[in-house]
Amino acid sequence: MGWNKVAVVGVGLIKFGELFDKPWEVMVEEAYLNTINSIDKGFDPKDIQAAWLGDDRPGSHGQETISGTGLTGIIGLAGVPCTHVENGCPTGSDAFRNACLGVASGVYDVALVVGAEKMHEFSSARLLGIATQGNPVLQRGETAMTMFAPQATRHMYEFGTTKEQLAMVAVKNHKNGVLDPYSHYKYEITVQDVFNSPMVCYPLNLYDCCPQTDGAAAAIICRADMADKYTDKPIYVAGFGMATDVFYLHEKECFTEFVASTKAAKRAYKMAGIGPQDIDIAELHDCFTITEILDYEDLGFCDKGEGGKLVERGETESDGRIPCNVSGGLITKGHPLGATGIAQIAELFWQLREDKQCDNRQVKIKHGYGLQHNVGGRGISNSMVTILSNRVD
Amino acid sequence: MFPGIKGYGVYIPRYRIKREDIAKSWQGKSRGENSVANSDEDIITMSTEAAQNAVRHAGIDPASIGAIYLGSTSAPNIEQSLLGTIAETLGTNAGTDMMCVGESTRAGTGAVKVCLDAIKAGTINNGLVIAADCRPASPGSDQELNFGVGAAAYILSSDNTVANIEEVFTYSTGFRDLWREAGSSYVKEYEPKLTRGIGRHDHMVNATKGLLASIGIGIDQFQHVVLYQPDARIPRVIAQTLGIKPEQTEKASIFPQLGDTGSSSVLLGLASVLDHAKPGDRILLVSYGSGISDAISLVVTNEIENKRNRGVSLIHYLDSKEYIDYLTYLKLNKALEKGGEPAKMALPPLSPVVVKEGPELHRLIGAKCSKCGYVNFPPSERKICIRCGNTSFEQVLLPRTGKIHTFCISYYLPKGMESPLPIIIADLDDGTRHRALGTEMKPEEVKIDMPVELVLRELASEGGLNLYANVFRPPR
Repeated sequence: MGWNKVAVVGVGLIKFGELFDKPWEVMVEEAYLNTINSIDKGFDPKDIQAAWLGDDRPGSHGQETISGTGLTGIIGLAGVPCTHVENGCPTGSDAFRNACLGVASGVYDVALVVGAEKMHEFSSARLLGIATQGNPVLQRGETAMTMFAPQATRHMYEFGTTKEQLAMVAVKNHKNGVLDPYSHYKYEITVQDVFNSPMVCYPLNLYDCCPQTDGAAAAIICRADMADKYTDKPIYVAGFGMATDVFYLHEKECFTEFVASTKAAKRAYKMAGIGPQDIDIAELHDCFTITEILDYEDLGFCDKGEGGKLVERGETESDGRIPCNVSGGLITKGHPLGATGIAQIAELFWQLREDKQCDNRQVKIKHGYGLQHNVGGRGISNSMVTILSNRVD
Repeated sequence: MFPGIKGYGVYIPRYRIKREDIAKSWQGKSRGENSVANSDEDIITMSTEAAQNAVRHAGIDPASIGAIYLGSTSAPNIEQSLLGTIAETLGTNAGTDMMCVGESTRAGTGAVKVCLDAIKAGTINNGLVIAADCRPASPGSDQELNFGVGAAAYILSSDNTVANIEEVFTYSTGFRDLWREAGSSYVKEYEPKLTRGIGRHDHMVNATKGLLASIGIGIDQFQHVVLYQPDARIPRVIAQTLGIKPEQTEKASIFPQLGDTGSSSVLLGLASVLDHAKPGDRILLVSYGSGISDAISLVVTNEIENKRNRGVSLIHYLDSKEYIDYLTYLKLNKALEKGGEPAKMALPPLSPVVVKEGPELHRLIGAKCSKCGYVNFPPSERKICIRCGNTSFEQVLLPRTGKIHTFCISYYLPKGMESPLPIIIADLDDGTRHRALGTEMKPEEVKIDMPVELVLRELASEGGLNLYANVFRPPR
C-alpha cells in the first residue's frame, strides 16, 4: 500500500541546548556516532555510499559555503559523495527526502543523513539581523516571528481562536519535553506563565516561541529489502510530500492556512495510502504555538478553524486521540533548523518501534503510522511531510 | 496674463512638542508648540506628501510637470539628488527637470522665483515648487524652542490659477547670520539680536518697501500679509514698522502651532491664507534668509472657489496631532541614540535591486495579469504571473488606501529599526494585497479592517544613504 522502498535502521541525537562547549564538528561527530552505535546488529561505516547534510544557516557558524564536505570531511568519510541541503525550516526533513530518493533510485544501498545547526556561535542580537536580509523593501523587518504572527492575528479574528488556546500548545509541549532527555527546556509552565512572559511579536509572547538552540541529529537509511542486515525492527518510509508556495508574504492568498503544508500532507498521505485517521503520533512544526494550531488543520487532524479547540479538548496530548509533539516539539526541544526534521524522524522511529528509548513517553501504536512535518522558509512557503511506518503492507 | 498658483498642498508631521516641555528641561519658560518630524521623516518624505496634495488640488497629471524646484536648508546629504525619489513617487516623466535651492531659509521663495522665470520664459508650462525644512536644533539652544518642521508645495502655471503673482521684489545685502557647518547637524547663530535687527527686520522691511514702490500701492491694499515667522516677535515688530494691522496677518499666523519651519514658513503661511481667501484679495508674502528677502504680491482669482476642499488642507494636518515628551523628541531628532551596532543590510540602499525596483516601489506600479487579473508586484520581478503562469501584463497603479487584513507588532528588532514595529498586510481598495511596515500607529490601536494609507517614508539608512519606501499609516 505504502511506498516502503526505503527503511530507517538507526537514528541518533545529541542533547539540544545552548551548546557553547560543542563546536559544529563535535555536534556532528556525536550525532553520527550515537546513530551508528545504536544500530541493533552493528554497523560498519564503510557501508555508507552517500551522505546528505542539512544545515540551513551555515553562515551562523561562520561557514557561509559549507558544502557537503562539512559533513563527510569531519567524520572520517572523505571520499563519500555528500550534498548540502539548505531549505528553510524543513532543511533536515528535506535532506532526509533527498537521501530516500538517492537510495530508491537504486544508485545507493545505504545512505547517511545528518542535520545540524549552530545557533549560538554569534550573539542573539546578530540573529535578529535577519530583519535586514532579503529584498530591502519587500522583506524589511521580516523575521520568523513577523512571518508567523500575522497568521495568529487572522486565525483569532476569523475563528475565535484565543490566546489561551495558543498558550495551551506551549503548556502541553513543555509537559512533554520534561520526559524527553534530548529536550533543550525541561520544565512545566502554565497558561498564566505564557501570558506573563514578555510580548515578543504581537500576538505572540515569549513562551509562544521556540528557543534559540544548537543541536544535531542523524539517521542511517537503506534499501527496504536489505534492512534485516542491520535490524529486525526497521521503520519504513511509507510516503512523503513536499510543497512550496509564494515567495513574498503579500502574495499569500490565505493567512489561516499554510498552503504548502496542506499540499505536502496530501501528497504524503496519497503515497502512503492512508489518511490522517491512521496516524498514531505526529511530530509537527511548532516553531510558534500558532503554527501547531494551523498544522492540526492543514494535516487534517481537525476541520478548518477547529485547531484551537482540538488542543483545548486535550486530543493532542500524549494519551489523546492524536498525540502531537510527544517529544516536546520545537517549543521545548528547540529548533536547530537542520537538525529539527531528523530529530522528529528519530522520535517517530523510537515510538513506532516501541523502543526502550521512549519508555517514559510511549504512545499507543494502533495503526503503525507516524507523521513528521515542517513548514517554513521565506513566506512560510516550504513544507515537508514524512510518514513512517512499522509495517510494509 | 500673470503666471500664478494653479494648486497647492502642505504637509505637517503628526507629532508636536509643547515648548514649555522643552523649556522646563533647561529651567526656562516658553509658550506654544512646534511640529516634530518622526524618525522616518525628512524633507524628501514631507515634500512628497505636500507635492501629492498640490497635484491633487491643481487637478493636473503629474506627467505634465516640466520642472520641480525644491527650496530647503536641510538636505540629508550635501551631494546627491533629493528630488529623484520625490519625482518617482509622484510619477513625473524623464523630461522633468529637478533642482534644489538651498543656502538659507529664503530658499522657498527663491525656488518660486526660479520656477516663475522658467514659466515666463516659456521653458515649462506647469512647474512644481516645494519648500521643506527639517532642521534639528541643538539640545538646550534657543533654536530648539522655536524650530518646527513642515512642507508646502505649489503648482505654478499660466492657466487655471487660483492666485496670480503680480510682482516680485528682492532685497539682498552681504549680511550673514545663521550657519551650519559641513558635517554638523546643528544650526549656529552668532548674535540673535543682530539676526533680528539688521537681518530679519531690515531686510524684510526694505523688500516690502521696494515691492510697494514698484506696484505703486500702499500696505493697506493687502487683505493678507504673510511674513517669515522665525519666532513670535519678529512679525509684530515688522508690522509696527510698516503699519500692518493685526487682521492682515491673522490668517497667516502659523508660528504658535508649528514654530519656525524655515524655508517652508512663508509658503505654509500662504497656504493658510489661501484656504480662507476670497477672489480679488491681494496677498503680500515676505521671506527672509541670511541677507536676502523676497517680497511677492499675489491676487486671488475666481478659480479659488472651484478648487476648495480638494486634497488635505492645512487645518486637517494642524488638527491631527499627537503630543510627545522631551525624551521622545530627543530620540526622534537623533540627539539621543540607542547604543550598539546597527544590523547591516544584506542589500544596502544603492544595491542594483533597489535601483531597478525603486521607481515601481515608490510609485506603486503593479503588473496586472491579462489572463487572471492578479496584480503582480513589483513588475520587474515578475515576467510570469505567479497565480496562472501567463506572461502578458498591463501596468497599473496600486491604490494608496486600503484596510488591514492581518498584522503583527514586533518588539524585538536589531538596532536601526524602530520598536515596536507594526508589520501590516492590507487589502488595497482594488483588492491587491500589500505588505508594508506601519508608522504612527499605537500597538493597542491596530486592528483588522482598520483603514490605512500608504505614504513615503525613510525605511532604512546605512552609511549616510537613505532608503525610501511606502509604509502604512492611519489616514490623516
